[in-house]
Amino acid sequence: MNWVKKKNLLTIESILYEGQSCNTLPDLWHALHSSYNSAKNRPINTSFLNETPQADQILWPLFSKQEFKDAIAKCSSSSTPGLDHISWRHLKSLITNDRYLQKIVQIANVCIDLEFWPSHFKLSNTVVIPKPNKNNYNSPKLFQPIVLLNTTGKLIEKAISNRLQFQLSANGFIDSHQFGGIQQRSTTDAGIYLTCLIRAGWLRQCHMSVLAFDIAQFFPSLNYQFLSLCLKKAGLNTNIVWFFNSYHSNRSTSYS
Amino acid sequence: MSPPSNVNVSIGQGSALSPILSALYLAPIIKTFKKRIKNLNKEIPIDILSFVDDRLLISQEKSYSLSNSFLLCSYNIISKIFINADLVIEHNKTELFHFIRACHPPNPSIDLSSVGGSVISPKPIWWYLGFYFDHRLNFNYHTHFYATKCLSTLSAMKMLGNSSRGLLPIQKRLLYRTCILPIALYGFQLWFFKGAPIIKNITKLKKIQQRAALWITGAF
Repeated sequence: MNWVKKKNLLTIESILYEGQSCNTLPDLWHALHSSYNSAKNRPINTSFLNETPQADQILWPLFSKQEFKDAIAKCSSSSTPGLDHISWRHLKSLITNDRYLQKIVQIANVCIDLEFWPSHFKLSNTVVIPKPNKNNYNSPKLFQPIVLLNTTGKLIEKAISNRLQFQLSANGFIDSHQFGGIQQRSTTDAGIYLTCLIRAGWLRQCHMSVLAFDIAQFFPSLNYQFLSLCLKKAGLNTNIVWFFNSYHSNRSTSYS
Repeated sequence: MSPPSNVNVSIGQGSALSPILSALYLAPIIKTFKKRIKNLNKEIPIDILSFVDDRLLISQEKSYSLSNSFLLCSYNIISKIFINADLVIEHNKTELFHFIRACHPPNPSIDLSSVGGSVISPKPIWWYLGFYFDHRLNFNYHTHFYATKCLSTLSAMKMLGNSSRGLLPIQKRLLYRTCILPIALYGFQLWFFKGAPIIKNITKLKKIQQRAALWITGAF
């Protein structure tokens, strides 16, 4: 019986960052922070944006109660809340009362109107968990950060996101060849699209070749300056662009 | 817990807006790429597919050398656009795969050294978005992989229960439907359609169902 034998414990290696091991807690926080949350924000050449046509102007009516009801219906009650400990379960029972729902809708509308995102919603807690099935864990890249934000803010974000998804697909800014991050465009849809393309090519007696590549450190390396230009190109009005400006500034997180 | 530190990334993880904003970020890049491909003096048959941070260039051509040069050309164009948008392509993760109907096709490799990569030779199975593609699109390896995964989950589930008794059939059924079926049927839309050769794949799925049915009902 192999499994009753003595099993050696795994050797624990400290996390290496830039060639140095992190032996104290502040060192560790520094290593984690610089690998997950430091955008370089280099100055970039955005001249090629002129090649993309300006999309149609998007109208932004006030939020309705129904949008928030729809957004919260998809949230899992068991997911962990943020620093203020208000869980989705609490929020779901609150929202059944029309008066409280009205307040949340008002907060959302005022946020857009004043182009401001409250600092309470910007606080988050980052929990770092190891990615599964790796041989050793000596680099911050082998860990997955999970960011816990305050749920009320997340609910408003969800309502905004649902609206953006619809409108950006409707005015054709998001290309039909782009999958992921959008409703109705999942991995399976991408797979079906790819196999269809291949089978269609075979019918034309061609053989198909595919070159797959990915982008290093995708999320942390997105550039803010470029994003705000994209928002303008997408046809969002200046109100929303400035709202996102406030949304992205002065965020802070703590690690645990 | 650490003291709070300032976050200066433009799209943070965890926010509900990140997926849509990243799609928004990539939209002009893809549009520009398509436009530049169209503006080349010779029309080249290249398609692009993008899934968050995974991108694909798809070429269709009758000869390998032509198709490789088209891929190289478009790879060069897109990497330049990405550099302008402050994104860096991880050249050592780039993969090549040919889809050919013939049984024993030639598998030519591509040389990306001129654009900062290396010589890439295609592997027999290509893993993309959780699907295992083979060059003839019969998905035998794909179903085999997921069927094995399900069978091992199923054997592990037999251990569930407390010291006096096991699970009720209704709980077992719930477990089967929530934990096994979604894995077993992942991506079936790709190979299950009218007229497709599916007997091999179906037999594997049937085996899982049979085992699960025996476990749920307690029959032998």
